[in-house]
Amino acid sequence: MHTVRTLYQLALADFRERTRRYSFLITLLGTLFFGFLVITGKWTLRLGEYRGEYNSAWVGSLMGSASTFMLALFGFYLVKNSLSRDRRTRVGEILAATPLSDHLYIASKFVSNTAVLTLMAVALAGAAIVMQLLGPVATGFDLWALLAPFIFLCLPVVTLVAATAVLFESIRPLRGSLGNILYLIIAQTAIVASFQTDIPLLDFGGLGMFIPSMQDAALAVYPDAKLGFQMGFIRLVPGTSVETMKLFHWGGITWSLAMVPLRLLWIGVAVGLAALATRFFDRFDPARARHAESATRRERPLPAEDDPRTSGVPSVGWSDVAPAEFNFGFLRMWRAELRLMVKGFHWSWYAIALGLIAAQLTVPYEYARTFAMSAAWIWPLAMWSSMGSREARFNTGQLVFSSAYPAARQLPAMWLAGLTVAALTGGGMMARAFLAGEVGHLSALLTGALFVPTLALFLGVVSGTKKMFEVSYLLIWYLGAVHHLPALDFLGAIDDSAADAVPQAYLIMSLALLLGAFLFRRRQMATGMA
Amino acid sequence: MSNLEICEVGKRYQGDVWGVSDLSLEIGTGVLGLLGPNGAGKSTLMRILATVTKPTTGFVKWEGVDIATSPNPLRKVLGYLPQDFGIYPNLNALEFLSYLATARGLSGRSAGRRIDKLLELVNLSDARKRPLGSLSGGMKQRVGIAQALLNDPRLLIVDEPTAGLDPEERVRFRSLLAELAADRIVILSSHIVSDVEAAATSIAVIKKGHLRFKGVAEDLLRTVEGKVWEMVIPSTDLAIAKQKFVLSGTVRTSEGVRIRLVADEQPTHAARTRTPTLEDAYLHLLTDRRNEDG
Ligand SMILES: Nc1ncnc2c1ncn2[C@@H]1O[C@H](COP(=O)(O)OP(=O)(O)O)[C@@H](O)[C@H]1O
Ligand SMILES: [Mg+2]
Repeated sequence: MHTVRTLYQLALADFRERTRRYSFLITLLGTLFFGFLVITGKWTLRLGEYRGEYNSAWVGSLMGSASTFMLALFGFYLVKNSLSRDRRTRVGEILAATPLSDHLYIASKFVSNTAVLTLMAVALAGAAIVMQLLGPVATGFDLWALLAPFIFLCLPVVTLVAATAVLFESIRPLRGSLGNILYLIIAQTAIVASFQTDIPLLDFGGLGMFIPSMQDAALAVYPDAKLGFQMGFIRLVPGTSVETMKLFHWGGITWSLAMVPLRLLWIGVAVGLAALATRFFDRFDPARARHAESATRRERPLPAEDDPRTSGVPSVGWSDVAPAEFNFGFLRMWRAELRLMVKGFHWSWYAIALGLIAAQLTVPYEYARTFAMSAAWIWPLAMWSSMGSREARFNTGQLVFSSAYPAARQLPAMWLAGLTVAALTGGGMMARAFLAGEVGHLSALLTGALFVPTLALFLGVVSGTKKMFEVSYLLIWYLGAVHHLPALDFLGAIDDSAADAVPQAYLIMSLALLLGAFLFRRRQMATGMA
Repeated sequence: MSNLEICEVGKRYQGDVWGVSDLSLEIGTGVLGLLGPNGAGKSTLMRILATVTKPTTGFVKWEGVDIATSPNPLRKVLGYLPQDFGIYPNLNALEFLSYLATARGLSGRSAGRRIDKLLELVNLSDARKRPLGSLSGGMKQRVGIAQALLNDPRLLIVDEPTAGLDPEERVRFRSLLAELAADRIVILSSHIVSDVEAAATSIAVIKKGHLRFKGVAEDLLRTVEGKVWEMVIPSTDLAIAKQKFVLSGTVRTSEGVRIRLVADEQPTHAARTRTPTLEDAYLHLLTDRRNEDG
């Protein structure tokens, strides 16, 4: 009983801390905006060119599956910050010195993550109800048909995501950007598997519970129809819209108790993942962290304060210190920023980056343009995301910004360092496009190289965190570089986007973002917010 | 002669909390020791002087120029050690200092030479190639001191600089400050009287955002002359004495507890006056209700 109460108190404190943040409100609004896109038919559920009438069963399944999908992909990034917050605020070290067990601590984070994500799901369920009540075709309101998909699809997925977030935060190498990238790949694979499989055990999203029933309903009206199952933003398939799709009536499925065990299984998996997290959890012991870090740099662990070489009477006095001469060098500033950006990565990081450049130069052009380039420009995620936010994250703002002209000198150098990383990591493809005379592709690559670091700088300055850029960029990258949504094709993977003047748009956007970053940084310094 | 003029400066934080209010001070060459308990507003004032924060009311002028509207002339000659600052854990001391030297606009050659000597000066030359993330708190503090001296500042602001330093280093650092203050302004904050006493040529005491005292140590001592008493009481009476008086010291002896207190009147006939220390004067200033506004 005591344990349950402690768990409840810990999770509650964590939940409160998170939901009282301003950023939570933004996320909630973002979630509701997504709900709005679903309501207005920008995001749909289709069987080929067919869709169901918007009755309670269809709307519930549409919203429920869309929410499941969104929370599975991006809910992770929303909650993957609770251990790191305790680490940053040092609350973790205080808790570590209490009798609180690792299991209980991890469990509280798991519960709190689940609660935050459930709140998002509840908001989306509310949007589904509103949609049904106010929507274009309000035929027969059935609350259970609306809500059941949320309960059956969303809730188990939410627990899975919550547990995965705790697990990733507990495993040191997965804590940062690498984990963010890896998660996106895993989630994407799992979602595709969930869509396409006939094996219920692989269907973590639970879509298989109603897809066959939908398909039967469609076939009853259109016996020769070529069905499939797709969901997503309507623009992904050119020339389709909700209006032009052919309709059929689907009365929904009977949600029964027999479906419960399979869904409970996934909650069980989630609990298992959370338990696994306990095994990796370092209990905020900085020695373990330091050891791991220094091992990668081949450094010995450090002696204490009384190291004879760093105490005793110094051999020089103030009068021996050479006089200061001033001559600001922008090139030196750029080099310094670049060094700061690329420092601290394992050698294997560079090896893979080199491999990706080699791939850009060697694989067939179309593959280089799509696969190699999209990999090459997600790989430096952690470097870019440090731009603009570094001073806030490491609390060095007071040191850096009390230098003369920080916005005019240091910020441009940092920006240029980000561009350098983009130019180097995508250099193979650029050279190849140039040699092949692919002017359209080359200009798309150049604007892309401009856009990505500029976005990073802007979001870093505005938010003071790495995460804002990482999540936004992963979203853009996922839709643009992986799914080739033309408007988000910032790396010029398809010809359509060049024809649509996408590079020009990104050029203008980059300039606006750069100006925004500059002005914002100036304002931060003026108001002492930095 | 450098000159820093603080005029009716106030800083309001969110929630209508005033970090400092209506504070005026004129500061010239030498070490100014800024004393005050935690939360008094020392760091707020120092952040304003270091151009990191802008005051809500009033202004600060460096050599006649308002630092809120044109901070860069001051920034060029400013050395600042914040109370609470971070480092980049993956850089070593050499790299971190040369990064900041570049940002401060030092020429490459001059930066290299100065950094070498400064690291020797703060006794870190043997640790200069180690990632900062693995240094102890005191070592990081010394990196902070070195960075504050990078550009040979004419205004040096150090906020609770001795935190984390061992006693020997404290002494060394104080005499370094005194040496530096010969031809520049040094502002040093602390909540510990002895830190300020040893190094400061003049003292300012702030409490709850207001300036309570400004002057040399002798002036501060004069405020409690003839008001410092010592007497021995039974240890059972200690709790009562603590309620009644402001105690600046207690020593247990075989006859009871010898207490030291500051009071305008002789507390008991047994009480004997003592020569005041700065600690007595400071305590008296902080606890004196007549100084309170509201
Ligand atoms: N960033 C801030 N936001 C809100 N209040 C602050 C902030 N910084 C300081 N304060 C408040 O201003 C007062 C003075 O704080 P500070 O200048 O840090 O004092 P000191 O350095 O003397 O300990 C305190 O009441 C503190 O709570
Ligand atoms: Mg302070």
